[in-house]
Amino acid sequence: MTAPREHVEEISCQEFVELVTDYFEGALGPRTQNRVEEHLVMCHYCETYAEQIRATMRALRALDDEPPAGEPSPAILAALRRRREDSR
Amino acid sequence: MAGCSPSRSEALASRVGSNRACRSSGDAALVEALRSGDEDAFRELFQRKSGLMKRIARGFVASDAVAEEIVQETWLAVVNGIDRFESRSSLNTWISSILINQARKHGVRERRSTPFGGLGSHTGDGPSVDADQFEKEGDAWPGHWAMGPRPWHSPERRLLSLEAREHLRHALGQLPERQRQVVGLRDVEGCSAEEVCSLLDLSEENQRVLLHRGRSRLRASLDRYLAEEAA
Repeated sequence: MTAPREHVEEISCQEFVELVTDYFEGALGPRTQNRVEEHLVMCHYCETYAEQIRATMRALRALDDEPPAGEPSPAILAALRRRREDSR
Repeated sequence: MAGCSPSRSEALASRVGSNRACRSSGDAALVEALRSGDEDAFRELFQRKSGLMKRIARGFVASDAVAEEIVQETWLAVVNGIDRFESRSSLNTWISSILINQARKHGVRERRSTPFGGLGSHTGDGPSVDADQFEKEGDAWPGHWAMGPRPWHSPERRLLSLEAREHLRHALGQLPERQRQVVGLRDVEGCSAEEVCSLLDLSEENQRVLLHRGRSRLRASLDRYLAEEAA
């Protein structure tokens, strides 16, 4: 058995890339949250990685602009017509 | 998969909070307009919501054509079933729950008729970043980046190009089904985690796992795209 060393608590970059979504979602426990935040302060690479995930999310958001899908089908228009007739 | 009974839809819908995609506003007037068959009001709603609905449906099925069919079926069910809408949820959420039930029915049918893997139903649970990107046991810093992620230069401009968007749309379509649904609803549509859990019957943890795997894969895909584009 070796005595625990101070840096045992540090997370690795390989762990960070698996925690990044839980981190963004606020789903980490306070202890892990602190470790992730400490890691991000020290690790420029993981900061870059987290920013790339954010850029991916922004790019996905920008897909939200497809034009509407065509026209209502004849069956829908007929159903509306029936409603109009019924409400007269 | 249960069919789209109005009671189930209402129960499902009532568990879902409000958000941009599923938000309530002026429901009473709109419901009244639909009940009386007001075509102008219907067309306005159809125009406003159908694009969004198609993308949600697209998370369940393999083609645009089937997704469009699902949207049309949903609107027909909405017009025919509007008398059963009880205002326990917002109208938009009620419509979304009908849409998802219709999409699931189609999704099940498609899986039955698809011989192998075309819908990406595997779970796809590899690491978010290839293990060879990190230092190994015996190296100076095991588990830390060996070279670091490739930097993305001017990502905002490059990722919004038509070509990049097409690439991302395609990559999203290639994700395993559940990841595609969750990423589509969360990141494209802007639904909340709570709403996605309710709409897709997922636990919070599973929703996060699917979101994580999907986002990680899409980041990796964009990373390859940007590297190739720069080459």
